[in-house]
Amino acid sequence: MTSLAMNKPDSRESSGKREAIVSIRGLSHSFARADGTMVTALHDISLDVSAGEFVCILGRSGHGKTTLLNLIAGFLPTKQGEVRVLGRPVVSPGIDRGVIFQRDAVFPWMRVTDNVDFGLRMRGVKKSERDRIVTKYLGLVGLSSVAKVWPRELSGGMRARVAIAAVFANDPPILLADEPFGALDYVTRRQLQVVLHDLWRSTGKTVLFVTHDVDEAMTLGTRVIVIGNGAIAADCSIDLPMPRTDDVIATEHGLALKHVLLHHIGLE
Amino acid sequence: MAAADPDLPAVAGPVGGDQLPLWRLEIGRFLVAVAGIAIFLAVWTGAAALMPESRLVSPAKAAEDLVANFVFSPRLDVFGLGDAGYGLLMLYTLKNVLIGLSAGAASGILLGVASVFIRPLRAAIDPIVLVMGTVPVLVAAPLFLLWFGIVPFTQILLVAFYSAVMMMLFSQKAVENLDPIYERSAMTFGATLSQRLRHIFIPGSIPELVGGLRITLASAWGLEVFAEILGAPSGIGQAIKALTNLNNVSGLLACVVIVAVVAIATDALLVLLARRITRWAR
Amino acid sequence: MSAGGRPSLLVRLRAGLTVLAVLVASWELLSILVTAKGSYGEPLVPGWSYLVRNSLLRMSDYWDGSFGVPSPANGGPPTYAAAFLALAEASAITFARLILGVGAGLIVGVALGLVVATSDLARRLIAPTVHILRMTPFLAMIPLFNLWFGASTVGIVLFVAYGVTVIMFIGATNAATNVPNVYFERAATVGASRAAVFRYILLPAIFPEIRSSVLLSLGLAWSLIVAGELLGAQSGLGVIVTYALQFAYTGRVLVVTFLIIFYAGVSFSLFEVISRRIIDWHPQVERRLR
Repeated sequence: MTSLAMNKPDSRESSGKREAIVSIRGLSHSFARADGTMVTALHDISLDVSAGEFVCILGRSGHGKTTLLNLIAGFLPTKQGEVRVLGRPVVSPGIDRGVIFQRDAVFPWMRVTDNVDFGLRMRGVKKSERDRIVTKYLGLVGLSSVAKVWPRELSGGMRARVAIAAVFANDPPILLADEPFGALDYVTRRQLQVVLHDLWRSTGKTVLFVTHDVDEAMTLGTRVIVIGNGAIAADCSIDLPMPRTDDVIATEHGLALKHVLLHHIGLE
Repeated sequence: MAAADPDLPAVAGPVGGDQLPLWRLEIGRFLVAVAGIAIFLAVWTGAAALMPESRLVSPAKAAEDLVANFVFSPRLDVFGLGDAGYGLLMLYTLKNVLIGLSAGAASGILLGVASVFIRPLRAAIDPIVLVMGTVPVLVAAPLFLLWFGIVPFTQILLVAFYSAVMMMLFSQKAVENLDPIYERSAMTFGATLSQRLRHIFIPGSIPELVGGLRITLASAWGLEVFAEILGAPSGIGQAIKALTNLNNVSGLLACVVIVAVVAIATDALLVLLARRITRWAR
Repeated sequence: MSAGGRPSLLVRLRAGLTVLAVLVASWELLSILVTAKGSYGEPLVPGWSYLVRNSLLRMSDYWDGSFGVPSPANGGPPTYAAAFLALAEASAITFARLILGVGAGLIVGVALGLVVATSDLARRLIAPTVHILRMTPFLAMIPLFNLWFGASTVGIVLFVAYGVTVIMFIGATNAATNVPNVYFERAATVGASRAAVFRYILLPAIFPEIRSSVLLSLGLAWSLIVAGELLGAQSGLGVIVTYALQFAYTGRVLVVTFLIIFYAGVSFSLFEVISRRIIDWHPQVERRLR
């Protein structure tokens, strides 16, 4: 099966014909600990992501996934190597890259609508246009009934829906997500995976989704990049049919893929 | 979304304890609070009964004195305060505190917030704040008195100076304590620095600023009264000074009660006002 | 530009010294520009040399002539030795009052707070009274304390102790009610006695929160002691200011003011160092990502 072929990132050919929307070359990053010693978080990462891909970045905690995402988002300065988005080097956060954060980043001092409306307002979009977009996305994530509510009155899962709606309303070509459902219960997480996946399929955005959960990566991704010890340990396309129900993943092919991922993440 | 599950406990409702209805709980608490104040007044009355009138008088006596001297008080006349009563003198104090607090707090907040974003300003302000934040600001009262004389400006300046230092500290902290994730998030939505200031930093730090303002206001009363005792053309502090010279305990207690009532009332007003602005923060 | 963290120690030190130098220089400049004099002929803005050669030297006026160091009060010449002795004596008196007042207030406030915290009813019963006492400006009560206990050391110590007690009482009840119940439950599972729970659970658990109340009390205590001595005392640093105020000796007021600012700063730093040692175990919550 071609999908099981483990390719080095540079020799990837399966989707290499299309223009890369995110392009990373020789990216390394290290931090200074409080005592002054340096820790290498990422080591010589090279990676191309094509438009429309749903890339899951899979790995254990503390192995550099979040650092990689923060570099692409522009939260951290690139010290060594290069990160290009839409052909331009990343220097700061920008509206071409929407971010769904690991922790709750919904502004508590704005009502749900104002949170979803925020990016549009910052860009000076006309009020009538904003209202139309906000109503649409609140409906798509199932929050129409709580539009005028303060975030503190919502559950964690509903606040995650607000974050998703806010990002999609702003319509960035690229979406970065850092374990956005990590703190949610199993049922809520599964529901939100469906919400996000449906929105991705209907909008055709490019998604980079960080997770430590193999099942989540297989449910969502068209491609899974395993990060281990700050380097790319594996890069697999997931060519399972969508939607990825449990039955799809439990096929012989799905289980074979899962074993490969488990192997690279450090189990088995 | 899933339909309500009958097996799940209700999310809303009183948390923990007995399943008393909320209103009964509130009334119970109110009664306990009233009982607490009643005990306080009873202890005060008892202590007054044990002591000579030149030392302590009962709350009833103090209240009597307060009412009798609220608008006009001839006994203060000999001290050059005219026949103004405690209430009228308190108006002077109230006016000074409000002017001093608003001027001081406004400049303090402005400088404090700006210093978080402008490094050189921060470098200049930090050492001053570091020292002034620990210094009992009232040590400046005698100096202000020498420099500016017995005029309202002397007391207003002291309150304003104190409020500025305190609010500079509080606003710096409030902005810095704001979770950086909000600024990051705003940046991914393309918010500029001024937009972030207006939509993120200012609303996000208001709850802490209100807390700081309450602490500052509470101390400002004492500072103003102290400055007035030291030397002022009018004010409740001057009444306190005069009554001290007269050894008049009931009058002294009445004046302290007036200051306390106004302090508590203005604090409650501030809380009410803040609650309207920060409805999002429960 | 985004919200930055605190600059490094070196940068802060350099900035601090620069600001200090600028302040010292501007004061000198101001003293040259403002030549107005007070009602007894003293400059309202005395320059540095006047402050050292006149105001500091004349502190010897407040020396009583003991230890064979002559005092101007007894017809001797003003000397720096007498000036320093006068300041040292006044400082010692003020310090003693401060320590006694703060110490008594800490013990009584924390003890009362912990007792009340054990009962929900007691806490609710006393809460409104405590709120009233907290909101009644302490400084407005100085004349009352003078009247009750005399304008003496006892009156001032009790006044400081009263203020500190109120603050510490509130701090202690809040801290005790904020201790997570799970700690007490865990102690109960190993059969800890009441005394053991108090010693090994309650006291260490409330310390970090109590610490900020103590810091607050220390600041308050400095204000209370200065105000208390200014408005009624026969000795101490505040009294020097009171005397100087009567003759509009701006320079002398300034000397004592600087001294108090210095003392307050030192006491705060000392407190920081000591309390940091005690709460070494406390997990520092890293909220900022950098």
